[in-house]
Amino acid sequence: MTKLSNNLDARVLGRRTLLRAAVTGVAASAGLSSMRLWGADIDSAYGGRLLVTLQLDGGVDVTQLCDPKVNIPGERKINHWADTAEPGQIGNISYAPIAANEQLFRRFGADTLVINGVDTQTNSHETGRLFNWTGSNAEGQPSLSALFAASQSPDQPLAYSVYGGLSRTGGLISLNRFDDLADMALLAQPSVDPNTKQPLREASDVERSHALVQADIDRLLMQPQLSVRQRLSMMRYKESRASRDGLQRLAALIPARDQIVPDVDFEAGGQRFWSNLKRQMQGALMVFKSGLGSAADLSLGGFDSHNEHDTINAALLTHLGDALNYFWDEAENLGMADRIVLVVGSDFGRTNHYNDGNGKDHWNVGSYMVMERGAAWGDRVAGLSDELHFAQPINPLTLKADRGGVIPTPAHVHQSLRDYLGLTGFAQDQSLDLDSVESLPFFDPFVSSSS
Amino acid sequence: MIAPVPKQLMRRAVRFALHGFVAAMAIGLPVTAAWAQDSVPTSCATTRAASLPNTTSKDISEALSFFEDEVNAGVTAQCLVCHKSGGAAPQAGARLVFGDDAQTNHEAFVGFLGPAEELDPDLDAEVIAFVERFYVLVLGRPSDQAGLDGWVGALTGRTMSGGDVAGAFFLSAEYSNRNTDDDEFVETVYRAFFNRDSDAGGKQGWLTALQQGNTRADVIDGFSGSAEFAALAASFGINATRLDSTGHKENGADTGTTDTIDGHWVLAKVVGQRDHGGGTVLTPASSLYQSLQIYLGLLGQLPGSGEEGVGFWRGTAAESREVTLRRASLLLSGSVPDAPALCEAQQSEAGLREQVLATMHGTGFRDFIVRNADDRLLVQGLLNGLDFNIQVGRRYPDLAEMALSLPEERPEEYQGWYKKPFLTSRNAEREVSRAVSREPLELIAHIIMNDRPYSEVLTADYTMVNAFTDLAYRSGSGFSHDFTDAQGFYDRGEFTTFRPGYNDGYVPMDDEHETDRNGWVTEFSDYIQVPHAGVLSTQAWLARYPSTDTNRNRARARWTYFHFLGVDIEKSAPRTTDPAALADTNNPTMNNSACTVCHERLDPIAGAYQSFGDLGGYLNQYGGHDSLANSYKFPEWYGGEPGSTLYQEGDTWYRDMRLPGLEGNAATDIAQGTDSLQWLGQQIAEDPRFAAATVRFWWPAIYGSDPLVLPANPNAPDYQQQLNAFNAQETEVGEIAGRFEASGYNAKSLFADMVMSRWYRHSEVTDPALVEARLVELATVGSGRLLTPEELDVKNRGIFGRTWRQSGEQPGAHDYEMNTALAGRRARFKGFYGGIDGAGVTARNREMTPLMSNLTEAMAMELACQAVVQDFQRPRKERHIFTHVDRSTIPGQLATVEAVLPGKVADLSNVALHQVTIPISTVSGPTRLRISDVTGSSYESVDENWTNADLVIQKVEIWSSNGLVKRISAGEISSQPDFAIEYWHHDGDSGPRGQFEEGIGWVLHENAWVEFSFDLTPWDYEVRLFLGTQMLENNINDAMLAEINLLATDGVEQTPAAQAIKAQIVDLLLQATHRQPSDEEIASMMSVVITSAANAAQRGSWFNSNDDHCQTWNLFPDWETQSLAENDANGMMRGWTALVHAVLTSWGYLHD
Repeated sequence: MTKLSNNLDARVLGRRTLLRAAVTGVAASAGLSSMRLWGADIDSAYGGRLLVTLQLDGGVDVTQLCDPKVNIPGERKINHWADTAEPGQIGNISYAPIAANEQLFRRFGADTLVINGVDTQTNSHETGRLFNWTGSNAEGQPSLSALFAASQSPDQPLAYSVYGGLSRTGGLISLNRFDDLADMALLAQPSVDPNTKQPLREASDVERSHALVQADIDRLLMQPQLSVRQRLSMMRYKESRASRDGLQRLAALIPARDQIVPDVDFEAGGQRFWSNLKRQMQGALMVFKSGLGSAADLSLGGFDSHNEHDTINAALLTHLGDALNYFWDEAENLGMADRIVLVVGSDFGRTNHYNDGNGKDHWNVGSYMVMERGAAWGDRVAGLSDELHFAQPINPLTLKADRGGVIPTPAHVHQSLRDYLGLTGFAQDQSLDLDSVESLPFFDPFVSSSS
Repeated sequence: MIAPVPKQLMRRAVRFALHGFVAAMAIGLPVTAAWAQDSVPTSCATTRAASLPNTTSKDISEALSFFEDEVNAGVTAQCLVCHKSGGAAPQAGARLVFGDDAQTNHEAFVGFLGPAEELDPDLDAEVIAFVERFYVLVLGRPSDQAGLDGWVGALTGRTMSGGDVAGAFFLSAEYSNRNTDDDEFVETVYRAFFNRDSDAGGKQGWLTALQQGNTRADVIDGFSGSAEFAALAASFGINATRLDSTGHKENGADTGTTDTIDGHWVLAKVVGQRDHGGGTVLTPASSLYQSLQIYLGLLGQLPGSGEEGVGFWRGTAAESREVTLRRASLLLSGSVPDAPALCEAQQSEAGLREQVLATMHGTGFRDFIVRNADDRLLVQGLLNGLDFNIQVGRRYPDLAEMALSLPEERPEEYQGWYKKPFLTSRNAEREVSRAVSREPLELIAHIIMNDRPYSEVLTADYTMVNAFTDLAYRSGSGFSHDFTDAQGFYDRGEFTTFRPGYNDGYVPMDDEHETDRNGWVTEFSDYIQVPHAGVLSTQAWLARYPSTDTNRNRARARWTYFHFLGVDIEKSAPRTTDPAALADTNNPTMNNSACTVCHERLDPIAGAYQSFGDLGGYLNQYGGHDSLANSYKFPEWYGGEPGSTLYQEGDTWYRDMRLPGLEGNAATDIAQGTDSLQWLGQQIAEDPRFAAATVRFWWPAIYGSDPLVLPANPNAPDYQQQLNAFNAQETEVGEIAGRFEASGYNAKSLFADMVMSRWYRHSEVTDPALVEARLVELATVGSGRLLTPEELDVKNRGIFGRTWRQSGEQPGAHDYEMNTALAGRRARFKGFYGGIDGAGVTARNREMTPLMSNLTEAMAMELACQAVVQDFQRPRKERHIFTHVDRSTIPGQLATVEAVLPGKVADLSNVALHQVTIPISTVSGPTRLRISDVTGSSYESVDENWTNADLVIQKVEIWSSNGLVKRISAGEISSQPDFAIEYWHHDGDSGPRGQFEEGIGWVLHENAWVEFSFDLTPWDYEVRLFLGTQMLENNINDAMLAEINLLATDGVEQTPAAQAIKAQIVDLLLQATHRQPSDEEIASMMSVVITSAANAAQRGSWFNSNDDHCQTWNLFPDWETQSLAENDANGMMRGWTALVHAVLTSWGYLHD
């Protein structure tokens, strides 16, 4: 089993201490105000593992994806597709035979771990998102991706990029929100005209301006009467300026406007859907390629199908499959496919029956899919749900059904992911342990919940 | 609108008594009145009270009476469900068990909390004397009985300290009305607190502190905590400061904890702290919490009450009044306050508040309201990808009639002509939808701008219409319906005006309803008058939080609770983790206690929305009688059993849900013609929680951060800091809400109070040791937050008169608003800078990142030069920045003259002669003379043949009153000290742009310059220049233009020009960053300007030359004006650009 190194970075540890000192002016008086807290090594590109989360917003029906359920006589109908079909099976993974699921698992099943029967303990979107992407249903924990970025590439100016979905930094690291990639050229090299490639201003004038700003910040940081808020934002600004030169590495990778993947829109269930998921993926991969970051959050919305569930869910899952193909193809083209761990999840699941509007409502049980090329733990299913999609307890060692076992929650999934990604020690050092959950052997290739 | 009832005032006044009376004074109650209210009962007499342990019968009876009136109903509603005999709480070990009547419940509290500290009745005489002296010394009159009783009771009951009482007198409205100046105030404080006159040094110190922006409350705090006052108070047997909890009992043995069981413990429990099994039941700003707080205080169970709030602010201080006004003015109106306003604000707190209020007008303030209201309501997300297919063409016949008269497509002859939008039928439909999307924001703006009670956001029986919705709604609001010009084009900017109006143009879908092939209504039965309930009934609000067959308005109810009652229903009770409960299909929201805990509160509000369909259409189901889902009414259509529905003819709400209402009050007996949503709006507007909810609604707008929420994880390392901050914030919210309520819900008054608050103004640290390790606690207090993209955009305009990628001064015909790089719907960089779109991105990123700092760099790179060039082109009085200098003002400048030299010559053997005389006063050291040709378009001829326009220098003479001092002939120019001339550069080659020509003089090529120095004893002189022009007759100009500069090169600081530049730098920094630069900083900045200018002058005379590129083409009406505007012979505009670039990217500019 591949395990990422626990890259505990002393600079990150030092950052909190420094910020705390900064509050009282100690940093300034001790001469620390001129010390860069990150961005110290901006010239070297990050070349380690990469983490992407793909958040399926609204609550995806996993009984129509990776935890297929057929209808049970005497019970309310759980899936219309099950009237005419049986679940598909590729390797060890069962899937619902709708949308692009078969192609998805045929291509990626060997590289995919499915974690079913995860009890999100909520039917609230807000709480579900928080729990699924931070591992805690209370505020305070960072997103998995933020934790990863802070651990793996704290020096990099785009360590943590956000294209959509829920993101929490936990005070560890800044997040970078992305918009239209076509405008990135100017932001990568603001002193150069993106069209003519000519400098916009006499270089020595710009240098004088920069020096003035730098001196201004240094001078201000020495002022003892600065408030906590002023000092914190000042130090953050100083860090940001110190780290930004590395962004020039992005300039050559920014696609021309006509090379940017177009958005898609489609109609399903009487609603129009629009998605820029592929563009999000393109941006994330571009940043990874530049070596400026290590983690990204992507999202695809629309899964909250209280009406016309089957039509909407199928359309979105088809788009999801298409986008995942694009993602891994592009990662392959850029030579980065071997470095990426992709975690796909949602707020929660959907009810084990249809409502009166042919929709499905909120259900607390959901699934994750973790993808990594060539992963030894691929082609496996961990976690169980019963025939009516209730989460089942599993043995914490064997992952098999066990009445005395545990029902996995997102906290368990995060704990295991933290272990696998080498983040546990780092999180402990930041006082960010998850509350009292054991690490289940989801990534042990020799155990699984299925036979 | 119903004015706040006296009872509310009374209750709040009493509550404020517990917080030191400050707020009560602010709402205008006289000192005595607070104690004269009936809500603190003065009578007592129950037999039961006598049996209660160790407290006086008077206290107990007051507490009981208050409990009966103000607390018991809430306890019964909120607590009894668990804390009843055999309930979940006793089963979990709780000892506090309630019953069915107030007496029992009161006794439960008393029995649980145990005895309060015994009081010493002998203290009264001394305490009376203590209070009496404040009446005399501070208010200048003897006490009245009711007031005296109140203060004495507070002191003997130890709910207030001596310092609290003293402070309350000084901060009372009665004292305030005496209009004492600071000098008299400080003198009185000395006498009242120290019983002596002031000493000169001490008094001056306090006066200086007040002048620097400290408040009178700060002064009071200082005296209250002094040893001298402690001694004085002790002489009356009174504690100067609050009591600690020493002496209060430890109840660990009874509870299994080591917590001190007192009123604070109870209050912590009800807000979800200390492992309360019922989670968060109340928020500190809720009326029940506040009543409970008063009750516990009356029981003597709140030791040290209020000390936490004071402690939170220790070590911090308010910024100066000037800084507050500068910040607030930019925030609220996007403008820089003028000198009189700043002066007025600096005089007093009242003056500052008045000036803050004065900023609240005009389009800037309106934009502030709309922008920040949308940040909360997110309705503009409807235009950014959310489902907003409201099919107005089917519902509004008057719109349909108009639209059907319009072409469906832009006519062939206008294809390719896109200067203005063409009004097609679909455009008309979109215009109505767009206007609908604006309604809630326009309504809020209308209410605030016109000083209407803010409660109208929920109760207004009107909505807001523009010309398009005026037509569609048949509103009759006075708009013209001539939407287009004769060709059919229209200007969207003309449809941004909204007025109050009604929606009387809506029609039901029924048997008579018919549409054409495109969905436009053509036949209908009758119009319906849509009821209005402020924001709640606007279709934008309803569509932003759409409903479904199963959601049944619950999302709307959730956000109604959140925004207008301050209740986050998601956090109001712990969610069940029981899978069986979650899977319960037996109508769990009615029957399963795991679900009813929230749904019994949520669902009645959802019911109040009964008239409005999934996207907000009124009675939108077929027939026009209800908005119930067909799947409920006709289950057989969806595979259900025929006849299985609970629906009955005429129903408007679901029979398997709770009745429409609000927290136990059913909307059943509402007046004929009143919609249940109107009833709900009225109920919420009258709810005491509405004021506090409104403070939280506007919290991000003023303070730049979301309101803090009660921390959920007691094990988090920063839990205590989070809790302290939350409690301090809630105290602040409560106080501000009280004033808001007392103002009659005036939002401008609310904003002013929020600005005047400590949360906004405490931007300074006075004692670093006291804020050490309070990183989390104070993280959102005071100034220092990153501006949002929209706020930065506003600031750019306010300070520099233009913003990044601004095109023109008004939106184009296709736009409703200015679209710049940072603001407007097409703002390309808004998202990168942490902005939201209201649909996919709803939370702002408020932390600077490397990418964002590069964005500010890109902004400065483009904007700095544009702002400089444009501002210098304005007349001095109209400038935003350069009010002290002109573009030609350079340090050391002794004189700058622009000389018009008319006349033309037939050929280059001739010279038209001119003499220019310039008086100067030199300083020590060399004087530098620079002569520049600044003639515009001098290469252009009237006949397209070659032309010429050269400036000729024939000689320079310097005269004093004693006669000729120095003469420099043309031939001697190149040998003068520091001689320099502009050079041309081409293909790696270069050469001087001028030369001496025998018989003519020193000839300068078009727009070239030459300079040299001479040394004179400091004195008054005349410099006489003998110039010539060789402008051919076919030149486009009639006269040449020469600029002559005389500069001191040593002793530069002594020159008026240097002083003007210095003043300009100070002004710029003050306006842009609210900070007065030090001499060292001024020197650094001046150095940047001068060095950059000198280098620029060497590179060329024009802004856009060599490596200086400034996109000014869209700033000026024509090329000629642009050409003149870019003339920068001495490089100062480029020098200033370097400084403005630095200012635009400085921390102080980018942060509030």
